[in-house]
Amino acid sequence: MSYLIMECHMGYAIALDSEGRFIKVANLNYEIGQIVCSVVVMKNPVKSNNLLYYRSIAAISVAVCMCIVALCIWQTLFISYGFIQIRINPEIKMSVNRMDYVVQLEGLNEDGQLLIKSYAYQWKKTEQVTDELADIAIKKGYLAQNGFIYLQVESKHEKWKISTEERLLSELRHHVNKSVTITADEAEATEKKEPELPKKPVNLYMPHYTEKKSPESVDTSPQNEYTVNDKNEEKDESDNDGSDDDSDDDDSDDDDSDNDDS
Amino acid sequence: MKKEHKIVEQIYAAQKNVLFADDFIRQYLPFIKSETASFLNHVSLEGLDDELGIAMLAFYEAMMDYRKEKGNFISFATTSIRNRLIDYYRKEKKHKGIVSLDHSIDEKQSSQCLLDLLEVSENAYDKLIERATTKKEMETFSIQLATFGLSLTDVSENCPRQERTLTACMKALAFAKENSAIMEELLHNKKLPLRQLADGAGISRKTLERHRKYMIAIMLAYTNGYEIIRGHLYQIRKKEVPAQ
Repeated sequence: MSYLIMECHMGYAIALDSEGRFIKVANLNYEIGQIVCSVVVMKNPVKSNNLLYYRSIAAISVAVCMCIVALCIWQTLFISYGFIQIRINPEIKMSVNRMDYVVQLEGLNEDGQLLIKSYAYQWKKTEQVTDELADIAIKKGYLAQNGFIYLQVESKHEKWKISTEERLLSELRHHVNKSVTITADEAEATEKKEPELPKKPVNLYMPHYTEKKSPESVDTSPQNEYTVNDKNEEKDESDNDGSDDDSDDDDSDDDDSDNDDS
Repeated sequence: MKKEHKIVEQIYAAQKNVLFADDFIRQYLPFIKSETASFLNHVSLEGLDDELGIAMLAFYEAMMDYRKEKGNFISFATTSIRNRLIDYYRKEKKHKGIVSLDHSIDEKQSSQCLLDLLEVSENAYDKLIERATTKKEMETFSIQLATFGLSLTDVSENCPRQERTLTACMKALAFAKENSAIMEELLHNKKLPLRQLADGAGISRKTLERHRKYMIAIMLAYTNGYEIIRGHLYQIRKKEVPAQ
């Protein structure tokens, strides 16, 4: 590329390159009309508009970075990463953030709401909250000897779910009395929760129903011939007596009130 | 403090006016020389050492780039000069072993240089005449450009830097060359027929508007009377795209 020197100044010269560009170059004792092969090209000064542009770009970049950082912090601290459900009798649901801090506590039943009432869970780790809730449950009488605590961890993140479940189970087992069963198995929990059936048969009031007995078990003795209908008859008689008494009482009350009026 | 303020005023005036810029550089030439000398460890001679030219360019760059917020101008210019000279030295390092044709044959016979020993096919007298003709053409070009209210400095500042923009401008130029009416209109009205150029060459009007000064200068070079400039612009032909 060759350069034709077009104009010479004190600090620079203007050269026209063979591609048609007019450029400012260092004036190395050039003369007008001189053709040179290499030049020292002047750096383009940063215009004030450009400076403003770059500054605004920098300011926007900083603002965007800060927003991203704020979003990350917000997501880490305040967004639920998973849920922990504790069932003693009171049922409680904990929302846990990425750093294993409890961000929300919710009572799923009345007892649960009572249990967490006036309990400050903010900035407490899951282990601490579960321990403290277990303590409160014991204190309030929800968790007796041979009781059970069912713990369930829910999250999209399987790894976190498993590790948290294991950690909380071991923590609770270490913290709570050994007689209390702590489990994450729902089947085991429901099995424990089902009330035991009474051993003695309950005499139910069921009109028009006669209890059928197998021929082997039928007792032939007359005093043992006992049907539900017979019992009902007896019960009716006793009820009638009672209702009569009540009506008498009512009358007497009325009489009293009349007397008071007089 | 007041003196500093005066310098700032002078710089701001020089940034707007080429003549003030030349005056300012002339005023600070001893400072530029001393800075160059301190870098070279010997006194630089005006008209001989390239380093002085580089230092003057660095001073001019500093002057054009200076803002009041940047602090003291002298220290700013000193840094600029030093950095430029370092850059120049690094660039010239690869030519360290090469002897200049301006180098004297013998230290005693300092008047004779290597260039004088070369058998030059060109006639020195013809060359001198050619240089004078070129100079005259350049001056005529500058004067005609001034009738448009432009200087070569303005044109160089308005010159497209990106290759794509330069190609677009060349496309517009090719269209103008084919349509002599546009060239005539430019010379007659002293205005660039932007609409015709943009429509004819199929280029964005905004692109041409941004480089209006450059377009005037390059189109002017293709009017009658500037054969030397046109002859120099041989590489433009490669970039030209025939207008549709």
